[in-house]
Amino acid sequence: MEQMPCPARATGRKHVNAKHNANFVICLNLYEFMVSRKYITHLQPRCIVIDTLSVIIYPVSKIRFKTAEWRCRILGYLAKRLFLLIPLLLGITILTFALIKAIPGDPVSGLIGERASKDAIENIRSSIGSDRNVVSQYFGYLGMLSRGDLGRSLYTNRDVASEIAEKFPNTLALALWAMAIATPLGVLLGFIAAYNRGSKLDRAITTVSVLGISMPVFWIGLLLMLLISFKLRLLPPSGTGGVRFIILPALTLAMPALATLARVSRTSIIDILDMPFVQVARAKGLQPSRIKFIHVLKNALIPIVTVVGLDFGSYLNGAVLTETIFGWDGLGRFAMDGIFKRDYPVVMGSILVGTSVFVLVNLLVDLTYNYLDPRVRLHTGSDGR
Amino acid sequence: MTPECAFTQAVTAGNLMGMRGRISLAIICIIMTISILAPYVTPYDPNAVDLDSLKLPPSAEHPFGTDQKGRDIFTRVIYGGRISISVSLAAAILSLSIGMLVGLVSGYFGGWVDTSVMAIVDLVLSFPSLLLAIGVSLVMPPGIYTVMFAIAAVSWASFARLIRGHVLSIKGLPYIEAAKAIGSSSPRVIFVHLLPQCLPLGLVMMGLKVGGFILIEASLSFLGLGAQPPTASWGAMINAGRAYIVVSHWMVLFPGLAIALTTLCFNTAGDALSERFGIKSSLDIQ
Repeated sequence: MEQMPCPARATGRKHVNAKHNANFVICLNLYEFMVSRKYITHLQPRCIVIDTLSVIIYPVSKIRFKTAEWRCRILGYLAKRLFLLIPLLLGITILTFALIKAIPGDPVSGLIGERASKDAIENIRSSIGSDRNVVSQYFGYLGMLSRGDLGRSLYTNRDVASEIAEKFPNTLALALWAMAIATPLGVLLGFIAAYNRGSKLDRAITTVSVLGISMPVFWIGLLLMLLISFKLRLLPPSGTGGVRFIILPALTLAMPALATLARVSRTSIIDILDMPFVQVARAKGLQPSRIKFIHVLKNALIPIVTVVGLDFGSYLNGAVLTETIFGWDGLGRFAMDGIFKRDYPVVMGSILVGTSVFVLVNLLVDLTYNYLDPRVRLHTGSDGR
Repeated sequence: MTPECAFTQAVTAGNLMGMRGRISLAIICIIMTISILAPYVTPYDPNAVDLDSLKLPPSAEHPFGTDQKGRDIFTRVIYGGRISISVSLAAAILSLSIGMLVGLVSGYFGGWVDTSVMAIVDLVLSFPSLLLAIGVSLVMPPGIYTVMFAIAAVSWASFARLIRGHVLSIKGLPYIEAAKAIGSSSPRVIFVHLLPQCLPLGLVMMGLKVGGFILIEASLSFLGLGAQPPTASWGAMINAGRAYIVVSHWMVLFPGLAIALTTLCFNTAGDALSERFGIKSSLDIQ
């Protein structure tokens, strides 16, 4: 016991003395328990504070968990998740390939017309490889993908991969702008609602957020366009370009995410507000603003970060609609143009890229989640998302 | 809670949901009744072109105005409701059935069946839903059945995962053991003993999802992949009105309001229902 740096000494609180012996013992027990479970290291015991009234364990986010073993586990977890990504990405290519194959109609007759000679048709068949069996076609497709080749557009004959590389930054910019609008506003609304729980303000915010989830993105976009571009003439209704062009689509895209976030952060802040450590912090006489912004918000952030990350998928979904409406030259509109023209390489390439990005972002969110909240069991496999 | 009390609660939907849920349910019923009784509610034909009344603003005669072909928008919104709501409900039932079957089989048998089925479920869940739905709807000719199938193809996976989890938690119970011990066949255990236990959970989940399905249906028809003109559906009406938004905004406004109201009611009702059953709302993490 003597060799172990005693938590009371480490925190340096004056009032821990013999008078509070009982508390001190409890604290030591807890401390030993946490050390034995590798929750904390011997070297960083400042997470435990002894108060005159009770033993407080600081909220998880304050505890330094980064022991060597933890690091080892997280690296192992990372390796496992990255390894599991391979079958997932393969599955995505299989599904995309199956969709291409399932599309009715012969691509060859689409390319050279119905009345071409048999020889010409056979020639093209063997040149694009559609005379081979399905499995070897799939491996051919896989080979193409591994070279970064997504095929050529049936209409413009341009390389799909390079077109996507050209348009993806636009979509990314749009998603990031939307995120930049939705995240602070959503958290703020949830924060206000949580601190006025049960009041009219809370009810108003909750109602508006359910409404935001229920309104179709494209409708919000059209109404915003009507109001801001056509009635007030503040911003251009469509086009690609600088900040003036990006505000409206980003605002539209942000709307459902904002509503979801407000909801989630309200619930999560209310959960944290009921925790004992917040009451103790109040009882200790900490400044209310400090409790609100540091103790509560920091701990409520864990589910919020998850939702922010997972919303990336909804940004990709919404981008298809938003970009179509606002003529924003991104991946979504590229895919939609492909759909209208039945330009399958374009559509499948976009779906493949969009899905891969979504999967990677989800993995990143999972890892962040584990980083922020080490209580999460580092589980591998199918239930990890 | 006495059994009678539990039973009464189960049969009276009102008690299941509280005030907000009850109001939403009432509005849903009203909307559905109006849609079903469409020919008696409105005197106009939803597809009759009237060149004398193009793009008229809302008035007593045409409460929601008329569109670019002189068709009454109020009428088309009501008839569109038939398509939108029935497609979403059918898609919900379809995905519930598929997900339920897959979840039951996968959870009951376990082992390699479970592993491979869950791998497929994960694969489907890893697609952004609208992108996958677009991919599926490309394979088939555009139309309401395609939309139905596309939504079901995207959303059965989350049902399957939920039901499988529930099956895992109840398949070790003594009554299942007993059923196996007296020699019940696997299908009998699954459909007679497990299915009734999973059904309420699945139905609540379905209630939560219908609102989202209405939105996906609207998005797909907005993109022109759903019901084809001249059939009215809410998403397609907004798409048609897009070009005229500056001169006649009512063509976009009212179908959108219909979508928002219906989705809102389904979401609120589903939310109330899931709160009652203690299931985490899918609205929280979509």
